[in-house]
Amino acid sequence: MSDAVIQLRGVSKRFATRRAETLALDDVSFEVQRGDVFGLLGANGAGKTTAMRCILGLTHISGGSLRVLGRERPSRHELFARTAYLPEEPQLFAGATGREHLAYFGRLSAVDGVRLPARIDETLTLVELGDAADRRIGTYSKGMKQRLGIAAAILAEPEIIFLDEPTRGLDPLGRKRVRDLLAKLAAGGATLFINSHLLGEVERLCNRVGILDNGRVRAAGKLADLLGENSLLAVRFALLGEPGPELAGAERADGGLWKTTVPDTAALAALSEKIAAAGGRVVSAQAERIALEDYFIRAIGREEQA
Amino acid sequence: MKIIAVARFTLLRLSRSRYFFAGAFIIGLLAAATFALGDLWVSTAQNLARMILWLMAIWLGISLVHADRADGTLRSTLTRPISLLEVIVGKLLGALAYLALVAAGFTVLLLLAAWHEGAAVSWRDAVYQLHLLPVHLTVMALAMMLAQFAPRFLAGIVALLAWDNFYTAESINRLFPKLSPTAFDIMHGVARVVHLVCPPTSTFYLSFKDFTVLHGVGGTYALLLVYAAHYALACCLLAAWALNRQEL
Repeated sequence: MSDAVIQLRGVSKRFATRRAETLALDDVSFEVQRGDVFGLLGANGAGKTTAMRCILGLTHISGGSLRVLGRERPSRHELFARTAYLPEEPQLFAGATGREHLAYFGRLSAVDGVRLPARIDETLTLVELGDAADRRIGTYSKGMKQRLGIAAAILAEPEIIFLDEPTRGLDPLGRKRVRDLLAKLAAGGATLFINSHLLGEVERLCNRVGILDNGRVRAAGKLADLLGENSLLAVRFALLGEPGPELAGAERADGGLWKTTVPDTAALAALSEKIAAAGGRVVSAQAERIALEDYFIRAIGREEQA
Repeated sequence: MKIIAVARFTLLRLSRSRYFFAGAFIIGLLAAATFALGDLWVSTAQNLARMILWLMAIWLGISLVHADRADGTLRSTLTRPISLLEVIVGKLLGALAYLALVAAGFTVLLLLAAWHEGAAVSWRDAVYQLHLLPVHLTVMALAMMLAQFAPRFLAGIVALLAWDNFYTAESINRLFPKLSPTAFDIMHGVARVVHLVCPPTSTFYLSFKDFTVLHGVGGTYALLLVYAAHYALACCLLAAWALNRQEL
Protein backbone atom coordinates (compact mmCIF):
# COMPACT_ATOMS: atom_id res chain seq x y z
CA MET A 1 0.00 0.00 0.00
CA SER A 2 1.23 3.45 -0.88
CA ASP A 3 2.38 5.51 2.11
CA ALA A 4 2.45 8.80 0.25
CA VAL A 5 2.51 11.81 2.58
CA ILE A 6 2.46 14.30 -0.30
CA GLN A 7 0.60 13.75 -3.58
CA LEU A 8 0.26 16.30 -6.36
CA ARG A 9 -1.91 15.45 -9.37
CA GLY A 10 -2.04 17.94 -12.23
CA VAL A 11 -1.48 20.92 -9.96
CA SER A 12 -1.36 24.34 -11.60
CA LYS A 13 -0.77 27.79 -10.20
CA ARG A 14 -1.42 31.04 -12.03
CA PHE A 15 -0.35 34.48 -10.89
CA ALA A 16 -2.48 37.12 -12.52
CA THR A 17 -1.78 40.83 -12.65
CA ARG A 18 -3.77 43.47 -14.50
CA ARG A 19 -1.48 43.21 -17.50
CA ALA A 20 -0.44 39.60 -17.68
CA GLU A 21 -0.95 36.13 -16.36
CA THR A 22 1.95 33.86 -15.44
CA LEU A 23 1.65 30.10 -15.23
CA ALA A 24 4.07 29.29 -12.43
CA LEU A 25 3.09 25.60 -12.17
CA ASP A 26 1.66 23.65 -15.06
CA ASP A 27 0.18 20.17 -14.59
CA VAL A 28 2.62 19.23 -11.83
CA SER A 29 2.39 15.67 -10.51
CA PHE A 30 4.66 13.80 -8.12
CA GLU A 31 4.51 12.11 -4.75
CA VAL A 32 6.62 11.76 -1.64
CA GLN A 33 6.51 8.68 0.60
CA ARG A 34 6.89 8.67 4.38
CA GLY A 35 10.61 8.52 5.28
CA ASP A 36 11.70 9.84 1.88
CA VAL A 37 14.30 12.52 1.40
CA PHE A 38 12.79 14.24 -1.59
CA GLY A 39 14.66 16.80 -3.65
CA LEU A 40 12.77 19.16 -5.90
CA LEU A 41 15.30 20.33 -8.47
CA GLY A 42 15.23 23.16 -10.92
CA ALA A 43 16.96 26.29 -12.04
CA ASN A 44 16.13 29.61 -10.39
CA GLY A 45 12.58 30.58 -11.31
CA ALA A 46 11.59 27.01 -12.23
CA GLY A 47 8.71 27.09 -9.73
CA LYS A 48 10.25 25.17 -6.80
CA THR A 49 9.36 27.68 -4.10
CA THR A 50 5.86 28.16 -5.53
CA ALA A 51 5.34 24.38 -5.45
CA MET A 52 6.47 24.24 -1.84
CA ARG A 53 4.27 27.19 -0.86
CA CYS A 54 1.29 25.53 -2.56
CA ILE A 55 1.87 22.29 -0.64
CA LEU A 56 2.08 24.26 2.60
CA GLY A 57 -1.10 26.18 1.85
CA LEU A 58 0.80 29.49 1.89
CA THR A 59 -0.60 30.17 -1.55
CA HIS A 60 -3.71 28.70 -3.19
CA ILE A 61 -3.46 26.33 -6.14
CA SER A 62 -5.35 27.24 -9.32
CA GLY A 63 -6.18 23.68 -10.33
CA GLY A 64 -5.48 19.99 -9.78
CA SER A 65 -5.47 17.89 -6.67
CA LEU A 66 -3.15 18.18 -3.68
CA ARG A 67 -3.08 15.78 -0.73
CA VAL A 68 -0.81 16.23 2.27
CA LEU A 69 -0.69 13.75 5.16
CA GLY A 70 -3.74 12.02 3.80
CA ARG A 71 -5.93 15.13 3.63
CA GLU A 72 -7.07 16.99 0.53
CA ARG A 73 -5.82 20.59 0.90
CA PRO A 74 -5.59 20.60 4.72
CA SER A 75 -5.93 23.90 6.55
CA ARG A 76 -2.77 25.86 7.23
CA HIS A 77 -3.24 25.45 10.97
CA GLU A 78 -3.59 21.69 10.69
CA LEU A 79 -0.65 21.45 8.34
CA PHE A 80 1.76 23.45 10.49
CA ALA A 81 0.81 21.39 13.53
CA ARG A 82 2.31 18.35 11.79
CA THR A 83 4.97 19.81 9.49
CA ALA A 84 7.73 22.41 9.64
CA TYR A 85 8.97 24.86 7.05
CA LEU A 86 12.36 26.49 6.74
CA PRO A 87 12.14 29.29 4.17
CA GLU A 88 14.99 30.21 1.84
CA GLU A 89 16.23 32.85 4.24
CA PRO A 90 14.98 31.92 7.70
CA GLN A 91 13.83 35.07 9.47
CA LEU A 92 14.90 34.98 13.07
CA PHE A 93 14.37 37.40 15.94
CA ALA A 94 17.75 39.12 15.96
CA GLY A 95 17.31 40.65 19.44
CA ALA A 96 16.54 37.31 21.09
CA THR A 97 19.01 34.57 22.01
CA GLY A 98 18.96 31.23 20.24
CA ARG A 99 17.40 29.58 23.28
CA GLU A 100 14.67 32.24 23.58
CA HIS A 101 13.89 31.92 19.89
CA LEU A 102 13.45 28.16 20.22
CA ALA A 103 11.42 28.51 23.41
CA TYR A 104 9.05 30.88 21.61
CA PHE A 105 8.65 28.61 18.60
CA GLY A 106 8.26 25.60 20.91
CA ARG A 107 5.40 27.27 22.76
CA LEU A 108 3.73 28.23 19.49
CA SER A 109 4.06 24.63 18.33
CA ALA A 110 2.47 23.46 21.59
CA VAL A 111 5.53 21.48 22.72
CA ASP A 112 4.85 20.26 26.27
CA GLY A 113 5.99 23.03 28.62
CA VAL A 114 7.65 20.63 31.06
CA ARG A 115 9.54 18.88 28.27
CA LEU A 116 10.42 22.06 26.38
CA PRO A 117 13.72 23.06 28.11
CA ALA A 118 15.16 19.55 27.68
CA ARG A 119 13.96 19.39 24.08
CA ILE A 120 15.59 22.77 23.35
CA ASP A 121 18.92 21.57 24.79
CA GLU A 122 18.68 18.36 22.79
CA THR A 123 17.95 20.24 19.55
CA LEU A 124 20.69 22.82 20.15
CA THR A 125 23.18 20.01 20.69
CA LEU A 126 22.05 18.30 17.48
CA VAL A 127 22.63 21.46 15.42
CA GLU A 128 25.91 22.15 17.27
CA LEU A 129 24.76 25.45 18.75
CA GLY A 130 24.92 24.45 22.41
CA ASP A 131 27.74 26.90 23.14
CA ALA A 132 26.03 29.82 21.40
CA ALA A 133 22.55 29.16 22.84
CA ASP A 134 22.55 32.20 25.10
CA ARG A 135 24.04 34.63 22.60
CA ARG A 136 21.87 37.11 20.70
CA ILE A 137 20.98 35.85 17.22
CA GLY A 138 22.20 39.14 15.77
CA THR A 139 25.76 38.02 16.55
CA TYR A 140 25.41 34.65 14.74
CA SER A 141 27.09 33.86 11.42
CA LYS A 142 24.92 32.99 8.43
CA GLY A 143 25.62 29.28 8.87
CA MET A 144 24.68 29.42 12.55
CA LYS A 145 21.43 31.20 11.68
CA GLN A 146 20.64 28.53 9.14
CA ARG A 147 21.27 25.78 11.68
CA LEU A 148 19.12 27.62 14.24
CA GLY A 149 16.38 27.82 11.60
CA ILE A 150 16.65 24.04 11.17
CA ALA A 151 16.58 23.62 14.96
CA ALA A 152 13.36 25.66 15.11
CA ALA A 153 11.93 23.49 12.33
CA ILE A 154 12.68 20.15 14.00
CA LEU A 155 11.94 21.23 17.59
CA ALA A 156 8.36 19.96 17.61
CA GLU A 157 9.33 16.70 15.86
CA PRO A 158 7.21 17.29 12.76
CA GLU A 159 6.19 14.53 10.36
CA ILE A 160 7.56 16.37 7.31
CA ILE A 161 10.24 19.05 7.19
CA PHE A 162 10.22 21.42 4.21
CA LEU A 163 13.53 23.13 3.47
CA ASP A 164 13.81 25.74 0.77
CA GLU A 165 17.41 26.02 -0.47
CA PRO A 166 18.83 25.10 2.95
CA THR A 167 22.47 25.67 1.98
CA ARG A 168 22.08 28.80 -0.11
CA GLY A 169 24.64 31.50 0.61
CA LEU A 170 26.70 29.33 2.96
CA ASP A 171 30.44 28.82 2.69
CA PRO A 172 31.68 25.25 1.93
CA LEU A 173 32.16 24.42 5.60
CA GLY A 174 28.72 25.77 6.49
CA ARG A 175 27.20 23.79 3.62
CA LYS A 176 28.83 20.60 4.84
CA ARG A 177 27.58 21.10 8.40
CA VAL A 178 24.01 21.65 7.19
CA ARG A 179 24.28 18.66 4.84
CA ASP A 180 25.56 16.46 7.68
CA LEU A 181 22.74 17.65 9.87
CA LEU A 182 20.14 16.80 7.21
CA ALA A 183 21.76 13.39 6.72
CA LYS A 184 21.44 12.82 10.48
CA LEU A 185 17.74 13.74 10.35
CA ALA A 186 17.20 11.46 7.35
CA ALA A 187 18.97 8.61 9.12
CA GLY A 188 16.58 9.16 12.03
CA GLY A 189 13.64 8.47 9.72
CA ALA A 190 12.43 12.05 9.13
CA THR A 191 10.64 12.87 5.87
CA LEU A 192 12.48 15.75 4.23
CA PHE A 193 11.32 17.83 1.27
CA ILE A 194 14.25 19.85 -0.03
CA ASN A 195 14.16 22.50 -2.74
CA SER A 196 17.54 22.99 -4.29
CA HIS A 197 19.43 23.73 -7.42
CA LEU A 198 22.65 22.25 -6.02
CA LEU A 199 22.56 18.88 -7.75
CA GLY A 200 25.57 17.40 -6.00
CA GLU A 201 23.97 17.93 -2.61
CA VAL A 202 20.66 16.50 -3.68
CA GLU A 203 22.38 13.45 -5.12
CA ARG A 204 24.16 12.87 -1.83
CA LEU A 205 21.08 13.35 0.36
CA CYS A 206 17.94 12.40 -1.54
CA ASN A 207 16.44 9.05 -2.44
CA ARG A 208 13.63 10.56 -4.55
CA VAL A 209 13.66 13.60 -6.83
CA GLY A 210 11.48 15.70 -9.05
CA ILE A 211 12.87 17.91 -11.79
CA LEU A 212 10.99 21.11 -12.44
CA ASP A 213 11.57 23.35 -15.43
CA ASN A 214 9.47 26.40 -16.30
CA GLY A 215 6.73 25.15 -14.00
CA ARG A 216 6.52 21.65 -15.53
CA VAL A 217 7.79 18.36 -14.11
CA ARG A 218 10.39 16.90 -16.48
CA ALA A 219 11.07 13.79 -14.41
CA ALA A 220 10.07 12.42 -11.02
CA GLY A 221 10.73 9.21 -9.15
CA LYS A 222 13.27 7.30 -7.14
CA LEU A 223 16.76 8.60 -7.79
CA ALA A 224 18.19 5.09 -8.20
CA ASP A 225 15.53 4.22 -10.78
CA LEU A 226 15.94 7.46 -12.74
CA LEU A 227 19.71 7.24 -12.87
CA GLY A 228 19.67 3.46 -13.35
CA GLU A 229 17.32 3.71 -16.34
CA ASN A 230 19.60 6.26 -17.82
CA SER A 231 22.87 4.45 -17.32
CA LEU A 232 25.71 4.83 -19.79
CA LEU A 233 28.04 2.20 -21.18
CA ALA A 234 31.63 2.88 -20.22
CA VAL A 235 33.85 1.54 -23.01
CA ARG A 236 37.58 0.90 -22.54
CA PHE A 237 39.59 0.31 -25.67
CA ALA A 238 43.17 -0.23 -26.78
CA LEU A 239 44.61 1.88 -29.58
CA LEU A 240 48.01 2.53 -30.97
CA GLY A 241 48.65 6.24 -30.99
CA GLU A 242 46.21 9.08 -30.26
CA PRO A 243 42.48 8.75 -31.12
CA GLY A 244 41.45 10.62 -34.26
CA PRO A 245 38.54 13.06 -34.58
CA GLU A 246 36.09 10.16 -35.09
CA LEU A 247 36.87 9.12 -31.46
CA ALA A 248 36.78 12.64 -30.04
CA GLY A 249 35.94 12.77 -26.34
CA ALA A 250 37.94 9.66 -25.41
CA GLU A 251 40.07 10.04 -22.29
CA ARG A 252 43.15 8.21 -21.08
CA ALA A 253 42.42 5.29 -18.70
CA ASP A 254 44.61 2.99 -16.60
CA GLY A 255 46.90 0.42 -18.30
CA GLY A 256 47.54 2.52 -21.41
CA LEU A 257 43.89 2.18 -22.46
CA TRP A 258 41.36 4.80 -23.56
CA LYS A 259 37.91 5.36 -22.14
CA THR A 260 34.69 6.85 -23.47
CA THR A 261 30.94 6.46 -22.87
CA VAL A 262 28.01 5.68 -25.15
CA PRO A 263 24.29 5.77 -24.32
CA ASP A 264 23.26 2.30 -25.57
CA THR A 265 24.31 -0.92 -27.35
CA ALA A 266 23.56 0.45 -30.83
CA ALA A 267 26.00 3.28 -30.19
CA LEU A 268 28.44 0.72 -28.81
CA ALA A 269 28.31 -1.24 -32.09
CA ALA A 270 29.00 1.93 -34.08
CA LEU A 271 31.85 2.86 -31.77
CA SER A 272 33.39 -0.63 -32.05
CA GLU A 273 33.47 -0.25 -35.82
CA LYS A 274 35.24 3.12 -35.56
CA ILE A 275 37.77 1.69 -33.09
CA ALA A 276 38.45 -1.27 -35.37
CA ALA A 277 38.83 1.06 -38.38
CA ALA A 278 41.40 3.04 -36.41
CA GLY A 279 43.35 -0.17 -35.70
CA GLY A 280 42.23 -0.67 -32.11
CA ARG A 281 39.98 -3.07 -30.16
CA VAL A 282 37.34 -2.87 -27.43
CA VAL A 283 38.65 -4.30 -24.14
CA SER A 284 35.52 -3.91 -21.99
CA ALA A 285 32.08 -2.30 -21.94
CA GLN A 286 30.10 -2.02 -18.74
CA ALA A 287 27.05 -0.12 -17.54
CA GLU A 288 27.81 2.98 -15.47
CA ARG A 289 25.25 5.09 -13.56
CA ILE A 290 25.21 8.67 -14.81
CA ALA A 291 25.57 11.57 -12.45
CA LEU A 292 22.45 13.49 -11.45
CA GLU A 293 23.88 16.60 -13.09
CA ASP A 294 24.11 14.82 -16.46
CA TYR A 295 20.62 13.42 -15.99
CA PHE A 296 19.27 16.86 -15.11
CA ILE A 297 20.85 18.49 -18.14
CA ARG A 298 19.57 15.69 -20.35
CA ALA A 299 16.01 15.95 -18.94
CA ILE A 300 15.89 19.70 -19.44
CA GLY A 301 17.67 19.54 -22.81
CA ARG A 302 15.38 16.78 -24.14
CA GLU A 303 12.33 18.91 -23.42
CA GLU A 304 13.92 21.98 -24.95
CA GLN A 305 14.66 20.05 -28.14
CA ALA A 306 11.13 18.66 -28.19
CA MET B 1 -1.67 29.95 25.70
CA LYS B 2 -0.26 30.77 22.27
CA ILE B 3 -1.52 34.35 22.59
CA ILE B 4 0.26 34.62 25.94
CA ALA B 5 3.45 33.22 24.34
CA VAL B 6 3.29 35.90 21.62
CA ALA B 7 2.58 38.61 24.23
CA ARG B 8 5.52 37.49 26.41
CA PHE B 9 7.90 37.40 23.48
CA THR B 10 6.71 40.80 22.23
CA LEU B 11 7.32 42.28 25.67
CA LEU B 12 10.78 40.69 25.77
CA ARG B 13 11.68 42.16 22.37
CA LEU B 14 10.30 45.59 23.17
CA SER B 15 12.07 45.72 26.52
CA ARG B 16 15.35 45.13 24.67
CA SER B 17 14.71 47.75 22.03
CA ARG B 18 16.40 51.11 22.14
CA TYR B 19 12.97 52.72 22.38
CA PHE B 20 12.51 51.21 25.82
CA PHE B 21 15.67 52.90 27.01
CA ALA B 22 14.64 56.14 25.32
CA GLY B 23 11.24 55.95 27.06
CA ALA B 24 12.83 55.18 30.42
CA PHE B 25 15.30 58.05 29.95
CA ILE B 26 12.55 60.56 29.08
CA ILE B 27 10.48 59.51 32.07
CA GLY B 28 13.51 59.76 34.34
CA LEU B 29 14.21 63.22 32.93
CA LEU B 30 10.61 64.18 33.50
CA ALA B 31 10.73 63.12 37.13
CA ALA B 32 13.96 65.05 37.63
CA ALA B 33 12.48 68.13 35.97
CA THR B 34 9.44 68.08 38.22
CA PHE B 35 11.63 68.87 41.23
CA ALA B 36 12.22 72.30 39.77
CA LEU B 37 8.54 73.07 39.13
CA GLY B 38 7.40 73.53 42.72
CA ASP B 39 3.68 73.27 43.38
CA LEU B 40 2.79 72.71 39.76
CA TRP B 41 4.94 69.66 39.41
CA VAL B 42 2.37 66.92 39.85
CA SER B 43 -0.07 68.09 37.17
CA THR B 44 2.72 69.15 34.78
CA ALA B 45 4.50 65.85 35.11
CA GLN B 46 1.24 63.93 34.76
CA ASN B 47 0.32 65.76 31.56
CA LEU B 48 3.76 65.29 30.04
CA ALA B 49 3.82 61.61 30.88
CA ARG B 50 0.32 61.24 29.49
CA MET B 51 1.42 62.79 26.22
CA ILE B 52 4.51 60.59 26.02
CA LEU B 53 2.51 57.43 26.70
CA TRP B 54 -0.02 58.48 24.07
CA LEU B 55 2.71 58.96 21.50
CA MET B 56 4.31 55.67 22.49
CA ALA B 57 0.97 53.89 22.04
CA ILE B 58 0.63 55.34 18.55
CA TRP B 59 4.21 54.49 17.64
CA LEU B 60 3.79 50.94 18.91
CA GLY B 61 0.50 50.62 17.06
CA ILE B 62 1.85 51.62 13.68
CA SER B 63 5.08 49.63 13.95
CA LEU B 64 3.97 46.51 15.85
CA VAL B 65 2.87 44.35 12.92
CA HIS B 66 4.62 46.40 10.26
CA ALA B 67 8.10 45.75 11.69
CA ASP B 68 7.50 42.00 11.76
CA ARG B 69 6.25 42.07 8.19
CA ALA B 70 9.27 44.06 7.05
CA ASP B 71 11.85 41.72 8.60
CA GLY B 72 9.93 38.55 7.67
CA THR B 73 9.47 37.33 11.25
CA LEU B 74 5.68 37.49 10.87
CA ARG B 75 5.93 34.93 8.09
CA SER B 76 8.20 32.76 10.25
CA THR B 77 5.72 32.96 13.13
CA LEU B 78 2.88 31.97 10.82
CA THR B 79 4.68 28.76 9.89
CA ARG B 80 3.56 27.52 13.32
CA PRO B 81 0.07 26.32 14.16
CA ILE B 82 -1.17 29.78 15.09
CA SER B 83 -3.61 32.10 13.35
CA LEU B 84 -2.88 35.64 12.26
CA LEU B 85 -5.55 36.94 14.65
CA GLU B 86 -3.89 35.19 17.60
CA VAL B 87 -0.54 36.71 16.62
CA ILE B 88 -2.00 40.22 16.35
CA VAL B 89 -3.90 39.97 19.64
CA GLY B 90 -0.80 38.59 21.37
CA LYS B 91 1.39 41.38 20.01
CA LEU B 92 -1.10 44.00 21.14
CA LEU B 93 -1.22 42.52 24.64
CA GLY B 94 2.57 42.44 24.78
CA ALA B 95 2.76 46.08 23.74
CA LEU B 96 0.12 46.96 26.34
CA ALA B 97 2.19 45.23 29.02
CA TYR B 98 5.17 47.30 27.83
CA LEU B 99 3.16 50.53 28.17
CA ALA B 100 2.00 49.38 31.61
CA LEU B 101 5.63 48.91 32.64
CA VAL B 102 6.53 52.41 31.46
CA ALA B 103 3.47 53.88 33.22
CA ALA B 104 4.30 51.93 36.39
CA GLY B 105 7.86 53.21 36.19
CA PHE B 106 6.58 56.75 36.03
CA THR B 107 4.25 56.15 38.97
CA VAL B 108 7.11 54.86 41.09
CA LEU B 109 9.25 57.87 40.14
CA LEU B 110 6.37 60.20 40.99
CA LEU B 111 5.91 58.64 44.41
CA LEU B 112 9.65 58.74 45.07
CA ALA B 113 9.84 62.37 44.04
CA ALA B 114 6.86 63.24 46.23
CA TRP B 115 8.38 61.42 49.19
CA HIS B 116 11.65 63.27 48.66
CA GLU B 117 9.89 66.65 48.49
CA GLY B 118 7.62 65.85 51.42
CA ALA B 119 4.59 66.54 49.21
CA ALA B 120 1.31 64.71 49.55
CA VAL B 121 0.39 62.67 46.49
CA SER B 122 -3.04 61.10 46.48
CA TRP B 123 -3.53 57.53 45.28
CA ARG B 124 -5.53 58.96 42.37
CA ASP B 125 -2.45 60.96 41.28
CA ALA B 126 -0.28 57.88 41.69
CA VAL B 127 -2.41 55.56 39.55
CA TYR B 128 -3.36 58.24 37.04
CA GLN B 129 -1.16 56.86 34.22
CA LEU B 130 -2.15 53.27 34.89
CA HIS B 131 -5.86 54.02 34.72
CA LEU B 132 -5.37 55.41 31.21
CA LEU B 133 -4.12 52.09 29.88
CA PRO B 134 -7.47 50.97 28.41
CA VAL B 135 -7.54 54.21 26.43
CA HIS B 136 -3.98 53.63 25.26
CA LEU B 137 -5.02 50.13 24.20
CA THR B 138 -7.77 51.51 21.98
CA VAL B 139 -5.49 54.10 20.38
CA MET B 140 -2.77 51.53 19.81
CA ALA B 141 -5.27 49.10 18.26
CA LEU B 142 -6.68 51.88 16.09
CA ALA B 143 -3.20 52.88 14.85
CA MET B 144 -2.29 49.23 14.22
CA MET B 145 -5.47 48.60 12.25
CA LEU B 146 -5.19 51.79 10.20
CA ALA B 147 -1.55 50.99 9.35
CA GLN B 148 -2.75 47.87 7.49
CA PHE B 149 -4.87 50.00 5.17
CA ALA B 150 -2.92 53.27 4.84
CA PRO B 151 0.69 54.48 4.99
CA ARG B 152 2.04 54.41 8.52
CA PHE B 153 2.52 58.14 8.94
CA LEU B 154 -1.09 58.74 7.92
CA ALA B 155 -2.29 56.08 10.34
CA GLY B 156 -0.20 57.77 13.04
CA ILE B 157 -1.67 61.21 12.35
CA VAL B 158 -5.25 59.92 12.39
CA ALA B 159 -4.61 58.05 15.64
CA LEU B 160 -3.06 61.19 17.10
CA LEU B 161 -6.26 63.08 16.39
CA ALA B 162 -8.12 60.56 18.53
CA TRP B 163 -6.55 62.29 21.52
CA ASP B 164 -9.39 63.92 23.43
CA ASN B 165 -7.45 67.23 23.43
CA PHE B 166 -8.31 67.52 19.73
CA TYR B 167 -11.99 66.88 20.22
CA THR B 168 -13.51 70.14 21.42
CA ALA B 169 -13.21 73.50 19.69
CA GLU B 170 -11.89 74.99 22.96
CA SER B 171 -9.12 72.47 23.29
CA ILE B 172 -8.02 72.95 19.67
CA ASN B 173 -8.04 76.72 20.19
CA ARG B 174 -6.02 76.29 23.34
CA LEU B 175 -3.44 74.08 21.64
CA PHE B 176 -3.24 76.08 18.39
CA PRO B 177 -4.30 79.66 19.13
CA LYS B 178 -3.00 81.06 15.83
CA LEU B 179 -4.77 78.57 13.54
CA SER B 180 -6.57 80.07 10.53
CA PRO B 181 -10.37 79.54 10.45
CA THR B 182 -10.10 77.15 7.48
CA ALA B 183 -7.34 75.06 9.10
CA PHE B 184 -9.33 75.08 12.35
CA ASP B 185 -12.48 73.82 10.57
CA ILE B 186 -10.53 71.05 8.83
CA MET B 187 -8.83 69.93 12.03
CA HIS B 188 -12.03 70.03 14.04
CA GLY B 189 -13.94 68.14 11.32
CA VAL B 190 -11.28 65.42 11.02
CA ALA B 191 -11.05 65.13 14.79
CA ARG B 192 -14.81 64.64 15.10
CA VAL B 193 -14.73 61.93 12.44
CA VAL B 194 -11.82 60.24 14.17
CA HIS B 195 -13.70 60.35 17.45
CA LEU B 196 -16.59 58.63 15.78
CA VAL B 197 -14.33 55.68 14.95
CA CYS B 198 -12.38 55.81 18.20
CA PRO B 199 -15.10 56.51 20.74
CA PRO B 200 -13.58 55.51 24.08
CA THR B 201 -11.84 58.83 24.42
CA SER B 202 -14.88 60.87 23.42
CA THR B 203 -17.70 58.76 24.81
CA PHE B 204 -16.09 57.70 28.02
CA TYR B 205 -13.52 60.34 28.71
CA LEU B 206 -15.60 63.39 28.03
CA SER B 207 -18.63 61.84 29.66
CA PHE B 208 -16.72 60.24 32.52
CA LYS B 209 -18.44 62.38 35.14
CA ASP B 210 -21.93 61.60 33.79
CA PHE B 211 -21.15 57.90 33.75
CA THR B 212 -19.81 57.94 37.28
CA VAL B 213 -23.10 59.43 38.47
CA LEU B 214 -24.91 56.43 37.00
CA HIS B 215 -22.42 53.61 37.66
CA GLY B 216 -19.92 54.91 40.18
CA VAL B 217 -16.18 55.14 39.48
CA GLY B 218 -15.66 51.37 39.64
CA GLY B 219 -18.61 50.63 37.37
CA THR B 220 -17.56 53.24 34.85
CA TYR B 221 -14.02 51.92 34.82
CA ALA B 222 -15.27 48.37 34.34
CA LEU B 223 -17.35 49.58 31.41
CA LEU B 224 -14.32 51.33 29.97
CA LEU B 225 -12.26 48.13 30.26
CA VAL B 226 -14.90 46.02 28.55
CA TYR B 227 -15.40 48.62 25.86
CA ALA B 228 -11.67 48.99 25.22
CA ALA B 229 -11.21 45.21 25.00
CA HIS B 230 -14.02 44.87 22.48
CA TYR B 231 -12.81 47.85 20.50
CA ALA B 232 -9.25 46.46 20.36
CA LEU B 233 -10.54 43.03 19.31
CA ALA B 234 -12.57 44.59 16.50
CA CYS B 235 -9.44 46.43 15.30
CA CYS B 236 -7.46 43.16 15.44
CA LEU B 237 -10.12 41.37 13.37
CA LEU B 238 -10.04 44.11 10.75
CA ALA B 239 -6.23 44.11 10.67
CA ALA B 240 -6.14 40.30 10.33
CA TRP B 241 -8.67 40.50 7.50
CA ALA B 242 -6.54 43.11 5.71
CA LEU B 243 -3.33 41.11 6.19
CA ASN B 244 -4.94 37.85 5.11
CA ARG B 245 -5.71 39.44 1.77
CA GLN B 246 -2.06 40.27 1.22
CA GLU B 247 0.81 37.98 0.34
CA LEU B 248 2.84 37.90 3.58
